[in-house]
Order: sequence, then structure tokens, then C-alpha cells
Amino acid sequence: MRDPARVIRLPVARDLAPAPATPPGSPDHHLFETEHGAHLLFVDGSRIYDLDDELRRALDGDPGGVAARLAAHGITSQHYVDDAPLVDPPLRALSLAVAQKCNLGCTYCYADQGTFGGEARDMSWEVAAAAVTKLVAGAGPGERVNLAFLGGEPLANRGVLRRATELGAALAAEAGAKIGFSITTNGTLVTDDDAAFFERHGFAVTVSLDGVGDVHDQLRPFQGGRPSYARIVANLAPLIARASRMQVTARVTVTPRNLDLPATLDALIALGFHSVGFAPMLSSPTGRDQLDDFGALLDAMIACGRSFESHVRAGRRYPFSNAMSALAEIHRGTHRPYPCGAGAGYLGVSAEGDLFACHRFVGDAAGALGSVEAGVDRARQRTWLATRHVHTQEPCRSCWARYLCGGGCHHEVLRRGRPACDFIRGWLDYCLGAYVRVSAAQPEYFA
Amino acid sequence: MTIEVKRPFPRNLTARAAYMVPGNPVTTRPEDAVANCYPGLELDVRNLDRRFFPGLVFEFVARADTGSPYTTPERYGALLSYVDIYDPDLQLDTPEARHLNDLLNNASQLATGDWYLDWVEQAGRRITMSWRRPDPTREDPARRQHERTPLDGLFVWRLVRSLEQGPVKLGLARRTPGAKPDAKPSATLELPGWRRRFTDASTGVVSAAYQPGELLQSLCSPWQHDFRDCACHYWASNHPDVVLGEVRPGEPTLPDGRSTDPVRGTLQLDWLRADRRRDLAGGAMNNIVKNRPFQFDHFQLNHDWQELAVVLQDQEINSVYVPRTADTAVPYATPAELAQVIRDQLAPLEMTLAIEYLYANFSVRDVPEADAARWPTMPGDVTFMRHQLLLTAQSEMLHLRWANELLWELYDAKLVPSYTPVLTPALQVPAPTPSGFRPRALAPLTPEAVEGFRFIEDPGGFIDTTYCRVVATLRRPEYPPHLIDLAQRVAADGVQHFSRFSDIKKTLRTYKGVTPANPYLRTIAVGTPEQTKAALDLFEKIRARLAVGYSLEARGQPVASGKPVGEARQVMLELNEIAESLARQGIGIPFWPST
Repeated sequence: MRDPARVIRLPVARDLAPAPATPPGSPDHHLFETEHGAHLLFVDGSRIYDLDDELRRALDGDPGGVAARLAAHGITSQHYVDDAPLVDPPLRALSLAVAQKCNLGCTYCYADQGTFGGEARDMSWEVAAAAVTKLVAGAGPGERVNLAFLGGEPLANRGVLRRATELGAALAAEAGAKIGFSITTNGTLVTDDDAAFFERHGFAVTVSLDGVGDVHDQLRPFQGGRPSYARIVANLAPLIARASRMQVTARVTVTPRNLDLPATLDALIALGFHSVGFAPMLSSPTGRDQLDDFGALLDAMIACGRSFESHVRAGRRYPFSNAMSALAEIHRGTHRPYPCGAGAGYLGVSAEGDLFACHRFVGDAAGALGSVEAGVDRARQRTWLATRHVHTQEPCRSCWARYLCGGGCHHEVLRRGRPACDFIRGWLDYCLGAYVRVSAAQPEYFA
Repeated sequence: MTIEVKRPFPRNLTARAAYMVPGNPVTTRPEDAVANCYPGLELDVRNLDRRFFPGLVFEFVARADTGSPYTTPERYGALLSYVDIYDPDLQLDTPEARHLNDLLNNASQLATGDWYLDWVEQAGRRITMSWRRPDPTREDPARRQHERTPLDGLFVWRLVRSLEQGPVKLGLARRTPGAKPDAKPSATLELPGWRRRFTDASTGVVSAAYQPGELLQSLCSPWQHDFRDCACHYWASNHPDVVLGEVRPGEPTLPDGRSTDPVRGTLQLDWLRADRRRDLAGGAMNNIVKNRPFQFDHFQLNHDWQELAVVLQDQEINSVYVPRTADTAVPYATPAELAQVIRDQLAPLEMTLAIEYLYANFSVRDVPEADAARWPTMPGDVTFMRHQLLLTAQSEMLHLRWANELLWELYDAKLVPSYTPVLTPALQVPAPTPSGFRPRALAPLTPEAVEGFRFIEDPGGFIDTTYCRVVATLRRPEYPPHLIDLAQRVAADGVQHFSRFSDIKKTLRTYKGVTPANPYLRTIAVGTPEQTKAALDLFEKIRARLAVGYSLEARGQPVASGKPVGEARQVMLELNEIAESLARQGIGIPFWPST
């Protein structure tokens, strides 16, 4: 089961984007170099091999014969991912838009300041209770489900959030199932009592912070324009201090106005976050603060990655979550037909109790998948899963990065297309090299 | 120390999982092992079920076997051996586990007397562990049944085995010592719980409730004795019958890893031989009964099983295995190209070689014709050479069939559009000439001919490398996986042929430089079609019957193909006799027109 926080946090590179550096290349393999020599990503099964010079030269000199030469070494396609879409997956994670309203006025918000383009409203206790009951009812003894709170700003509806958490915990205990909780918050409303509550229930708390001081304040002011950074940092201290079962991570939305990622990363790690990750702003409803210079983004991400590598090689913790998840998935050889669990095991619930493919699709007919009351609309879900399979996507089906990327965030792809593929490939190409370097220097990192 | 890493080196987990380790075939993997249910060969399955219910450990008490009389039914059944309050299932943080844990911690009555499993209940259905046994001694037919007789432990075990993972309720009953089988229990206890999940759902690791060795206990001697005695091929995947002896580190080997010592490289030893001394090892005999007196007995097997050698690729090994270089042959690009190579090159070549070896075989004197007075070893030498030649020719005929089989299987898998039997010999064979080939030849077994045969069968030569490419091609996913074996066997046989011709070469040293030359040979020349009409007719008949048989195979009628192929085999025996008789008269069969 995927960690709910990871589903929601838009993990690693696959949502990211641009810089015409790494062409799609062969659909079946990708060659890359490190100081350890030549390497090959065999796309089927995301398998990674170290090559010798002779084979590398032979592959270079005979582009049409690569498959045959690799087959001679027993490296053949096994069709790890087939064309069959996922069918009727069990529900494993829900996010509740408990408050479709927000006290911040972020320039780029996908939810239009939490309202998703509609009226500001709270989720009723009845809707939340029905959603939680439905989620836990699908879990057998020992199985794990995840409940996430999003908005808007979920703490704007604190009462329902807490009751839903307690109901989920009680129902799961009764069923012998495990339940995890997560929240994505802007951090302005967190109280010491909230911190105690989150700790008690082992929450994964993600705080949105777009930089330090002014940088943050320009992008994430209160509605009305007052700065929010000082308030958030003051609220964070007790939260981070209490973190034991709970994990507190920072998520930075990257726009053209906060591209100094290495400085941001260092500063946020110094604040004591469990991890820090970046997600580029690919499509905002207004078009404001959307990223276009993906080359600069790639440079900044790689600079962070290099910093991560040097820390890891020195045996020091440096929780740059994009790099950590990318390396973990590359090590495991993750090969996915979808970018995330959205519309499959993970769904978003609107304040009215309708089900959507994820928290970002709330209120969007393109991602509507039934309601809590009537259940998942399996027909629509099958269509969704059939049409979102990476083998049906262009240009993904012929891209070497397709099983690591999964085709890119559905929401961004449907809104803006795929402007960032070169960035994703560039980032993955870097991460493949970083993986080889780290696994050669510090193999125990992957133990 | 620097370790030289072979490349391509699989670096991440999926690459490592997909790595095909050179060595033993897939049938030696644990998941392919032969495993029956009772008591089980890899583990005693009863040992899983003795802990089917968290916190309780049972022993299944049964008769010696199901044919034995029902003498002491009061002892039969699932006897509660002990309560294991440390069972990890009881420590689960669930209401059911806490409840069951409480019940068992307070069930002090279980410490006294003999408690048996009385019934189990799942999904509303209850199974009682007793039956009404016929009692023929009672006069009244209506009463010819015991009231209630405990089931044999083996039956109880099978009922327990049938439970599904999930909630289970069970009843325990304390039996009174000395009471009749149908006596009322002196106490009962009902416990709600669940049938254990034996392995972790995500990792497949066996439940920590089982102690190290617990699943294997009770196999011991029967397991080892069965390992020795079982004659129904149950152990086929992990019990070799005959093996080649060990090659010790530093000893010279052929390219396939066998010893260059012709005896050591070809002598098949009984793997279970009692006398493990290397220099005294004699060849295995051809059936179990003959080998038995020289094998481990039961007692020795119990004590010295660890002396039995690990076997890799038919060869015993006592040192660290160093994988040979992996197959680096380049696959053929398409099924059509593969089929063309088999059809136009390999299959015709196999047929030509079969005929050349046969011709050479008939050129060698038979024992009565050997000049034993002048050459005391000649009777033995010619026997050996004729035997080796005949074996090799037969092997080539088998290869001809396999080459055809590869073709018809490709056709069957719809990878090529048609199949026509290939039964026409090739015009040329590999030779150390500038072109790499020489015209086919019907020649007596001179030292030069032997050298030529060795060249043909040389590992790394044309045939070997071509078959390696065939194997590499068949490894690709679009081909039916079972074909790899066929092609690999042909490639492996080539090495054996090379060894045989090397042995023949050594035998011929005795006759080096003597006059008249090659005294072991008959005076023989290729005859005319008229002189050899009977033989040639038989040869044509063989080809025709094989063509019919192979065509039937290709049409998916392997049973029907048996008849014509059997007839061909019969005709081969007739041809052998006629050829031998012609050879004694100095006439060789012109299998093909002279060039």
C-alpha cells in the first residue's frame, strides 16, 4: 500500500517538468554514464545494468541490434507492464476536502483559494462520517488504509477533522485493520493542541512553505495580502518538537519566483522538517506563477541532488524527499502503468460527498467517479483507468521514462498537457546516475 | 582483494531478480521440487497444521497406516500437546486476539489430562472429529454401530487442513484414561479464534510461531530412506542417478568443464556409491538392482548423507562453483531467419554427419577380422571404436530429428508459415579450409578422417556456435520456452562427440606409422548403385517413413507418427545388417552420388 502522504504529496520527479536536454530516445532502453562507466536502463522492469566498454561500443555502433545484443546476455523483455488496465481496484485511501475554503491567498492555487471555483463551504459531519466508514469497511484484518485531510485549509474545519480521525481510528481497531492519517496544511492555524492530536494519531503532516521569509510571503500571503511566514514558523516549533510518531514534512511549490531551491532546501531542513520536497507549478487556474523555464528548474533540482549525494556519501542524513523517493524507486526497479493511485485505490471526496479521481479534481467533471453515498462509479472508473494507462498516452508510450514517470500528474496533463517531459527525463537521467554513485559508494543506504 | 565483476552487472533489484544464473536447470529450484502432501518431501505438512489455531499445539495421533486395525481409538485424534501463550498471533492488537489470549491464559484446566480436538466450526458449519464405526459383533443390525468413535488422527488432520484462513471456533474435550471410546468427555472447552495465516501475506515468510526445524521434524529418517529407495522417479529433480566425477581445481578441462582425462571425463559414476575413493571409482551399472550392493545403505545414509556430492551440470563438485562465461551468442533476428538456418544448414548437416560416421564405422574391422596375433589390443580397439562411432552416428540421427522438431514446433507456434521434413544431407561439412568447409565424403576411419571429425565437433566450431545462436534466439520471449532444452542438448552432445573422437584418436596411436598403414581398417571402397541396391532401397524407405512421421508430428498427431517412425527404426536395423555384410566384402554404400 502506498503511503497516503506520498500519493498526495505528488512524489518525486514524475510530476515535474522541462529543458530540451534529454530526448525520448529509444523506447526500450536508456544509456547513461557515470564515473563508474556506462550504464543501461532496460525500460521493461526498470532494470539497471553496468556495461563494459566493449558492449557499450557495440550498442552505440549498432542501434538496430541493441535488443539482440542484450538478449545475448540474457537481458530480454518480459513484458512486466502489459496493456491491461487496472480493473475495480479496492479503495485504499481517501482525501477529504473538509474545508473548501482557505485563509491564504496563494497566487497559483489549483483550488481557487480552496473553493475549487465554487462557494466556500465546509464538509458536514455526516459526509465525513460516511466517507470514513466506507473507507474502513473495505479493509480486512491486517490491511492498511489511509485517510487524508485537504482543502482548502483543512484546519478551518477542525471539529469535523478530529471527529473523522477518531471515528476512523475506532472503526479500524474494531476491524483489526490499520489506518494512517495525513494532512496537508498551510500551517497558519496549527495550535499546540492540534500538534498533540496529530502526534497521538501518528499523522503525516505536510506543511506548504514556498521558501524563507519574503519569498514565501510573496507567493503565499493571507487573503488581503498580509505576510504569513512568521506566523507559520511560530506555529511549527511545537509541531516539530512533538514529532515522534508524527512526521512533519515541508512541501515547496516551485514557481518562477522561488527558484533558488538549494538555499530553500538547506533552510527548511535546518528548521527540523522530517523531509523537504519540491513540486513545480505546472498549471494554475489563472496562469499566474506557472513555470516555463524548466531548464532553470532542472539545474536547481540537480544542484539539490548533488548536495544530497555529498551528504549521503558522508553518511549524513539530508532529507531531500524528491531524491530519496527517486533513488528508492530506481533501486526497487519500480515500473508503473500509472503515475499515482489517483482514480484507482485513491479518491478525493468533496465537501458535498462526491468522489473524484484525487484531491485536485474536486469539483471537476473530468475526474468525477461517483459519490460516497452511491459508491464508486465503476463504469467511469474503468474508463478512467483504461484511458489513463501510460500505454495509451502520447508521447509516453515511446518514451524510455514511461514506467518511472507513469505519464505525469493526471490533473496537470489534462489541464496543461505535458510541457515538462524534458525536465522529467533530465531529472530521472540525473537520478539514475545518482543511484549508481550512491549504490557504489554507500550500498548500505539501500539496505 | 579486488573482485572482477562480470558485466553486464545487474545493479538494481529488478535487474538482479531477472538475472539468469548459469548452472543447474530451473527444475532444481525449490518451487519446482517434487512435493506431495503427506508427509511431504520438503516439509511435513502436518507440522503446519499442528498450530492451525493460535495458542494451541496439537499432535495428530493415528494408526500406523490407514490399513491398520482400529485398535485404540481412544488415543486417536488431534491431541493437545501444549498451550503456547507466546504464540505471536496471540500478541496481535485485535479484540479477537486479546480475547483468545485471556481465555488461554486462564484455561488452567488444560494442564490436566488428555485434551483432544472435539469439533471445529467455520462459516456456520461444524465438523465433529468422531464417527459411528460399524461393529459387526453386535447382534441387532440396527445397533451395529459404536455410539461415537474418535476419528483417526490422519482424518482429523485432513479435516483441519480443509479449514480456510479466517474465523474458526473449536471445541476441546478431555478424555478419561481407560474409558471407552464412546464415553462422555470429563470436561469440554470452547474457544473462538481463527485459522492461522501460515505465511506473511506480503513477504511469504512462514509464521514466527514455528520454531526453527519444526516444519521439518518427523521427516528425518523416512525422508532419507525414501530418498535412497524411492524407485518411482519422485526425486528426479534433486536426486541424480549417475554423475561425472569431480574435476579438482587446477586439473585440465574441456571447454564444457569436463576433465580432459578420457576416463574421468566420460565415466558415469553412481551418485549414491558407498565407496567415495576417487581412484577406485567404477562406472555405474545400468540398473538400480545391480547398483544397490555398492550404494549407501540406510544406516550409512543417515550418518553420511552430507558426503553425497553437490552436482552441477552432471558433475560432482566439492569446491566453490565458478560460473563459466555466459552465453554471448547473438540471436537470429527473426523466426524466419532461425528456421532458415535450421532447415538449410543444421538439419542437413546432422544427416550428412550421421552418414559419414556410419560409413566410417563400417570401414573398421569387426572383432573376428582383427589380427590379434600381431596386434593383441586390436580386438578391444576395434570394438571400442565401432561402438563409439555407432553411438555418435545415432546421436546425429537424434539431432536430425530434434532439428526437425524445432522446425515443426516453430510452425506449431505460428512463428513460421510452413513445415516440410528436412531429410536431405548437406553437400559440405565444416573443415579447416579457407572456405571453412569441404565437400561431404564417404571415407574410412583414417587418422585424417578422425582429425576432420574432431574439427567438426570442436566446441567453438561451426556447429557449436550455430547452436549457441539458436539457443540464444530461443531464449527470447516470443519462442516456446521448451525448445531451449532441445537446442541445448544438441549443443551439449557436440562436446561429447568431440570427446569420443579424441578417445578414438588416442586409440589409433598404436597404429601410427606402421606398414601396411591402418591395419584396423577393412579394405573398402564405395560400391556401385547396382551392387548396393538393396541397401539403398532401405535407405530411401527410412527417409520416406521418417518424412511421413515428421509430417504427422507437425500436424499435431504425435501418436500417429509413432508407427512410421517405428517402422523407419526397424528398417535401420535391417540396413545395419546389410551394410555390415557388404562392408565385409569391401563394398561401401554410396549414400550419395560421388562428386
